[in-house]
Amino acid sequence: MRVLVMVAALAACLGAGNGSAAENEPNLRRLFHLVGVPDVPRDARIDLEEGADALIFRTKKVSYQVPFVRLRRVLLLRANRRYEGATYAAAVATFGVGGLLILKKHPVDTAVLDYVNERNGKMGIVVQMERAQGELFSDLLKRKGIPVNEPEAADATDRSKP
Amino acid sequence: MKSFLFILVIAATVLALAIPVNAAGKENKYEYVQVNRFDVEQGVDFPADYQLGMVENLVKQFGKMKGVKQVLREGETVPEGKPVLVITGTVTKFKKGSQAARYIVGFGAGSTVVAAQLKCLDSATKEVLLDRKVDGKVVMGVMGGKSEGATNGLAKEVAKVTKEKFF
Repeated sequence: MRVLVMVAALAACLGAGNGSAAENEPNLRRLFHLVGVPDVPRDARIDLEEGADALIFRTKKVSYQVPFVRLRRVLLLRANRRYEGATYAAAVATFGVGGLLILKKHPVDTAVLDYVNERNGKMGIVVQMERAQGELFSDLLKRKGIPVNEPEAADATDRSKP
Repeated sequence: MKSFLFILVIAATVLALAIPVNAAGKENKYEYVQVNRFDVEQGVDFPADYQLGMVENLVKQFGKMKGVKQVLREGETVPEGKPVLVITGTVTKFKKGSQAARYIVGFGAGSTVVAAQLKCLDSATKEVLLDRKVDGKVVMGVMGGKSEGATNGLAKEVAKVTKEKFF
């Protein structure tokens, strides 16, 4: 019975993170916020909406707008993400063995938004999203006439000063 | 006579508490801080998301520092007639590390390191007031700790050394 529970827990954890909303109906919800949106902690889930003239980053408590005209550069980088929550749950459920789930990498796109504030000061926002969401985001920006830089190589880095 | 001495001691204590900054020998003339983006040394692969993260973490650190009235961004006009401390520098080392190695192996394996040469300047005179090496590391943490946390560590060290010197 214990083995059955462990296998079920491990299977559930392996499935976690893959069953994103992006698979069924592509949207820009439940992205991972890394840095830049005020009062939103790192790794918090955040929704991205397309406003009439701005991108709107939204959580339950925060709504933050970045007007399209203030966007200077957008980078879309290939990256990998590890889901600590699922790994922790697996480790607890399987008496530590599930901790090896940390080895599993989830391919994501890292979007780096370079923009200026109303006083012309340089600002930045970094969010991570599923690959399908990355394509959707890229299309959204291109529709608005904002160039998106997508370096070809995986784990691409950009050494220039943004 | 006793009450006179008592009043004298109280007065001396109040006076000492009122001027702690000057007593410590710090200038504390900068109430405005401008955080500029750091350059990256040739040959160092420092990802763009880490660069932005570092600046945002620096802004956050200076934003909650006592004695700092406003944190300005690169490109913003500095207030006229007010001394502004400019924070800038160059990233000299970046070791990506591995969260999995930190979690599974431990003992310093897979650590993420960001090192930079910090420069603090006076915005008006461009005089370099502080030139120092700083770094941020992620050696351990919950499930190995996120590698991006290294930029936060570096920002905390920058805040610490500038606080010691200027605030």
